[in-house]
Amino acid sequence: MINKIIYIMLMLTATLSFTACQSDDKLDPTSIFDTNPPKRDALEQWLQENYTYPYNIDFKYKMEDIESDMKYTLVPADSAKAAKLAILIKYLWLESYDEVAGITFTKTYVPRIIHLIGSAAYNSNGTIVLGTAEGGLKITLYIVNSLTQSSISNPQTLNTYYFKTMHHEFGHILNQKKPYDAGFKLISEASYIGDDWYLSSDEEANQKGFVTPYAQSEPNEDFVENIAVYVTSTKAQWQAILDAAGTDGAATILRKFAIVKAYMKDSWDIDLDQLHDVVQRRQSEIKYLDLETLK
Amino acid sequence: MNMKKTIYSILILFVTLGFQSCVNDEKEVFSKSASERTSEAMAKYSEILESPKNGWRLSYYAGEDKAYGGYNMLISFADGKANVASEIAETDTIYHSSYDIISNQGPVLTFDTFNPVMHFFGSPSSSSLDGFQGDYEFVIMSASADSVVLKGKKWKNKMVMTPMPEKTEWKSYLDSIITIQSENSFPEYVCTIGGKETKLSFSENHTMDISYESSSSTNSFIYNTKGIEFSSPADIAGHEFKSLEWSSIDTTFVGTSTDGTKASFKIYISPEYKKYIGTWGITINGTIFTANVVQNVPGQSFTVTSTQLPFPFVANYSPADDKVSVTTQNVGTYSEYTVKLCPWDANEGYLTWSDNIGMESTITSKSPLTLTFADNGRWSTYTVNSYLLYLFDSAGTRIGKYTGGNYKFPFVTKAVKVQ
Repeated sequence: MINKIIYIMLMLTATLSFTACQSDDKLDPTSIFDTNPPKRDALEQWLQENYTYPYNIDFKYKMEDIESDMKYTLVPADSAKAAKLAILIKYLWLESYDEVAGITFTKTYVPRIIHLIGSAAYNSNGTIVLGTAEGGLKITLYIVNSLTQSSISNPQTLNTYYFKTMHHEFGHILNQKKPYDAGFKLISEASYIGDDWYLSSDEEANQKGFVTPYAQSEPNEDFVENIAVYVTSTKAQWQAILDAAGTDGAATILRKFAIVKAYMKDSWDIDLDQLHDVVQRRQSEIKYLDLETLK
Repeated sequence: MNMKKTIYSILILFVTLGFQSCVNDEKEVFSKSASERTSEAMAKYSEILESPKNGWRLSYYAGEDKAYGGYNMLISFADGKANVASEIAETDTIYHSSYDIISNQGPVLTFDTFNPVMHFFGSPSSSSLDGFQGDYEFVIMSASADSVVLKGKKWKNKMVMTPMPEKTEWKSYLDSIITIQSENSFPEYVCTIGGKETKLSFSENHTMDISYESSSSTNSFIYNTKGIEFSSPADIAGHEFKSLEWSSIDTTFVGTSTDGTKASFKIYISPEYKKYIGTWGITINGTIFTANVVQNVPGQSFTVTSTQLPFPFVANYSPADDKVSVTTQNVGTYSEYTVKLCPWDANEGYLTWSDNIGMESTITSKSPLTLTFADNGRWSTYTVNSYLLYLFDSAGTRIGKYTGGNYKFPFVTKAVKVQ
């Protein structure tokens, strides 16, 4: 009985509140968002056609304070350098994945925002942040204003500052979508050193079974450093890492790398060797790219 | 729980809710919605920024509490592009980048692609994580056709933009500022106002310390085409001064305070500096050279001449530690070459022509005034104890030793003031 009363009352009040609030408010016909298309200059037009339409990427070359890390003092990217980097990223990164895994894969998993920052993000311990990825949604690249003709013609520099970072951060995105074999974390479990990674030299890190000093910080970083270093290094450079690592170090690196390789193949149907070859071939083709004109 | 209680609570809840949901008939205070007003304000600011025909002069202040002082930025805005020139760069170069007016903490003017001038003070480096603490995003505090007041978003300095006079060429405007800056190479000025001796001490930044009696204050300023403007009125001997004018003829800063008090600041030369002026006997390789020391830049350097030296040279004075030093310098020309005074380690047989390397003095006796000379510690590999004269071509390449006279001055050890 009591239950019934409650239901009746509930219905009553519910009905009452519906009617009571049907006031004569009308929706304001003007949107609170500006719906006028913004004025786009040549670069913005090009980005629209080459990033937004095919990949649904918002390529933010103009610095947006709210998109940037407030911890650091930063300055925006130079627009001419941003344009060159936009052409390079498309050719060396997006289209490499297009070629190996198909455009649908790239389109689905690439971050929705690429944000460029002109300066480096300097840490007080003397290290700099090369790039960050947030929640699989956004990749931030720093030091864009250091892009020069000589760094463009030197794939090593391009890789160090931008592309290793992009492969690295993209690796995080893939890991966030599909987890990797938990066994990976156990291989170097005792050797991860967190924020002290920058105190080691490359060689010391290699000997402990890591491809880079940064890989020592934690397993997730270690995992994606393997991808980034492998695809951006020439065969000789990769071999040099293994040589520097010594017998034990190299064995550890290769054990972990086998898991990374299997993950990419099984989870994403990407053959890392093929991706490596494509990236290397495209690097060697940079000299044929016209970075001065937007086509 | 008691059922009745539950029902009552529910009832009360609904009644309360019902009241709340229905009191939504408040009137709009403004005739337009907030978003409409925001976008209108943005459009208005854009229009104001683009309106002056010759752009704006922004009195840009860098550093927390304006610690790095003020710098002139000339800016014109058009179609989302900002064109900027400044006293901190080549005065005939205009740097282009983009700008936007966005809504965040109120309307914000942001320079959102890199501009070498606009972002100079905000650029970080590994040794200075905040750079020179310069803003490039500004909250627009107010905007009208004759002034725009901005406040830096990060460092909070208030800055004002005023339209540039239509007929003033940017380059000549900046050049006249640079001229005053280069003429004002004197760090200290003095003036007695109402019996109070007041001193202005310029720093390396665009700031100066003003001291009189026991009062001392640091004031940031910006150069203009006539002299300097203080960022906020400066207290000079108890009077408020907004600006000082530079007179290049008598190298003075003059001004009138808000209460009509006049001040004329003359270069301050310390008695310590003055004591070096006169005739000296300088010991070079055991031989005494007679030399005349006269004022060069007042308070800062001397010119030394001697009939036994082929060229006069400059000795710098450091008031902080009362030392005189002679470093690498151009002393004259010989045929088509420049003659350089080069510090030399005569024991080891090495010379250098890098800047700032040389010897400095130590006072060993006050009467007669006696100095000894020793390496100033700037040459890491060798020790300066001597000087050589060498010839250099216009590209800065060393040609060979000076051949017009004595070129070797080994072991400069001591100087005694004769009169």
